[in-house]
Amino acid sequence: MENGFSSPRSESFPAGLRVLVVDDDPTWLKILEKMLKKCAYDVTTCHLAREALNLLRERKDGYDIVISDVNMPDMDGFKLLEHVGLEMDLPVIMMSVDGETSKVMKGVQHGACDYLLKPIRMKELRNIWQHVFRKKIHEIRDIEHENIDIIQMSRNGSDLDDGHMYCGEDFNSKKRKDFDKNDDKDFGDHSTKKHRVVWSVDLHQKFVKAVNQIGFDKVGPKKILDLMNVPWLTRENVASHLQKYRLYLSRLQKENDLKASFGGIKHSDFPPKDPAASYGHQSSINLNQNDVANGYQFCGSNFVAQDAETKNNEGDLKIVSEIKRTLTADVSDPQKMRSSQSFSHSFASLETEASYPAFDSTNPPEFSWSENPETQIKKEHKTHLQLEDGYSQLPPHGQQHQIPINQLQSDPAVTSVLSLTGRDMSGSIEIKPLFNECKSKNVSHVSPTESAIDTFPIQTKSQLINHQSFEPISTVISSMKPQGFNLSITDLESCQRNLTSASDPNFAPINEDLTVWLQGDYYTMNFGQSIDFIDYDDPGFLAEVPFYLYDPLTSDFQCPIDSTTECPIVDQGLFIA
Amino acid sequence: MFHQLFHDVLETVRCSLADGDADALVLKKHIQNPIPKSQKPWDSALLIQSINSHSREEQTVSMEVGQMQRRLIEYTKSLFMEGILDDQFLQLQQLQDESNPDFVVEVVSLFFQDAEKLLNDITRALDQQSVDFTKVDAHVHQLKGSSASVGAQRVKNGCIAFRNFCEEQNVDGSLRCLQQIKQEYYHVKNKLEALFRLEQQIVAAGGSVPMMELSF
Repeated sequence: MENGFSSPRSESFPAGLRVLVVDDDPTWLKILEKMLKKCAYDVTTCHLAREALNLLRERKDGYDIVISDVNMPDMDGFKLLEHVGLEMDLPVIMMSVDGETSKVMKGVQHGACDYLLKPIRMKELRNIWQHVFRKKIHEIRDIEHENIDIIQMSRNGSDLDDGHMYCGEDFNSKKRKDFDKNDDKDFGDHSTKKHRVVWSVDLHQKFVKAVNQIGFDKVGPKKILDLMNVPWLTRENVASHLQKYRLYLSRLQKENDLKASFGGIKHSDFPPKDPAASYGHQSSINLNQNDVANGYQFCGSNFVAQDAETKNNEGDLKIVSEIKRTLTADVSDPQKMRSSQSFSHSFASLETEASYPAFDSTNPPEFSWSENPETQIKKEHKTHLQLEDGYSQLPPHGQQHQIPINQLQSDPAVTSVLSLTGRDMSGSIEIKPLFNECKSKNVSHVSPTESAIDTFPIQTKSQLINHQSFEPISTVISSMKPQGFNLSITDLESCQRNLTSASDPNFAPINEDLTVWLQGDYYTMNFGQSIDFIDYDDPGFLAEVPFYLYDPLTSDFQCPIDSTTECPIVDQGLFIA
Repeated sequence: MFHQLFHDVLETVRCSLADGDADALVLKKHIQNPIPKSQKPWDSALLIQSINSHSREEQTVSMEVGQMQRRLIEYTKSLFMEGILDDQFLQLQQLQDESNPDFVVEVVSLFFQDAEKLLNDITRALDQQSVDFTKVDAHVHQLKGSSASVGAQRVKNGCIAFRNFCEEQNVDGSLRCLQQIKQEYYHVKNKLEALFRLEQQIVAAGGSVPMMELSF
């Protein structure tokens, strides 16, 4: 069943509400199951948080609401709460036998829509459907707002770059308020889930810039809002985005033990597609993207260079990856990349998956990250994936490289993530989905859960989604011509070997895809040496490499990398629309 | 009036006497003719005695079920009065239905398993050279949750007290508290087992388990 409102059971709503209950106590699990069944809900139970996340990821639309205990052995209930909120955006109810105010507050801060005290009574459970309903209403409202904005934008048309649909800047908006909600929904293909303010690459980039400017510790929504200078954005939008961002970072921080299962990276299928279309197929990702076949939009540098808080060690790894499509390839220079990227393997998988269509020959995808696994991944780095909504949720559990890859659409922006940060730098890798087709905004949410990073690979095969300390991975921006990659890749490879980092972004190139990509602007970046991205030691480095979030709608190729980054970095943005 | 009652009883007994039973036949013969009300009561007593000795089972069915049910109710009530069980237990009983006729027993069994494991874990943790109170606290918290799930009130309260000792990192206090919790646990375990046995007897005798309502 999909969304409750559209499914047949909606008539008898809330009966049939699909509830997932997570509790390590078998007694409670049994009791709750019985109680929920009595409410005529459709119950699934689970003992472990990890199991719950797996279930949720497997069936994206499989559940309406999650009820979870706070104290669980394998994962803190609050953490689960964050994940679910970020990745699946489902309402979550917390429960505990402990009703301390501090705990309840923590629950609310982490996004719980309710906090129940055990022992729980039937009447409390009977009403949980209200949270589902409320969320739906809000989503619809947000979508409508967005639609209005979009319409407005398209009316303003000219100024906007293609694709900057959601970007606030060019938009003179106060549209949200001006328009009547019932404006036609052109973009109604939004899935109802999670469409609030769409944090496009550009928008998020601004956000991050603002955060970095202010200093992560001192941020506040108001300050960020002011700095961002996006008229239509409200303080609330920023606040909630900030919260998610924080949670995300802190989560990544703890995930040093990401299993960079590079193994998971599937290099797999590289279907020999012709470059142009190659990216398109990364549709292994569950992106709703249309197959991009070629619209490569040069995602160029839409990487947001995150240099934000370079928290060294362990901290977030901010990897600025600039992947420029135009790079022709030399991705090399891994040396520069020091930063370990602790991309969640998802990235890695991205790499691998990135089907290297064009690769076939020259660089066999061995770059793929899959190779990397050997290198140890330093998990300390977290890669910050920038998803369209803001967060790429690298699945916390490393293994699944799930990076929402919606972007993998067409334009595989090969974003090799450069892990510019030194080992101790934290870099955030913005992996933007390369997409070019902005049209559909569907860059859809790549639900982190599934986005197997595999799909990602399309883009940049060079994703450096290595957890480990990456040496900067110069993504090979596949030059539009596939050939470029070979070289770089090899270079890269060697570099990589030198690098401790395990992850070697698959510089694999994006070539094939890139071809499409940069039509013109073709950078021949030599990765070989180029990635001399600034010295990686310097946290500031990240700042230098502008890492833009790829704005799918944009077709501009910007080489965000400033002088230092000559390497074209393919952006691989995980962009979650 | 005694006589009337007596006669009614006899009548019931007579009717329920199986025909094929030799003793029953004898008895029936005796009761065939209704005892005149004016007759000597002691004869009736004797008669009853013999009836009793001969047809205990039949009697049991009709009379003891009621008794057992009453006994069950009284017993359960006492557990509540003493604070051994709380309202949650009633909630569990109310959740039980035809689709899940053994629900309460199953849940309580899960509780027993879980609790015993936790008590062992706590014991072991407190037995270490250097006690890890975080761990102990985690176990106690779990036990608290578990006991709350079935309404084992005293155990739950014991856990609350225990957590204070954990915060203070007080080993001796913790050990004493643990002892107490164990006692409470075994106490409630015995009581619940007795309660379930009573229920079983009622069901075996053909009766149904009465639903309790907590009115106090």
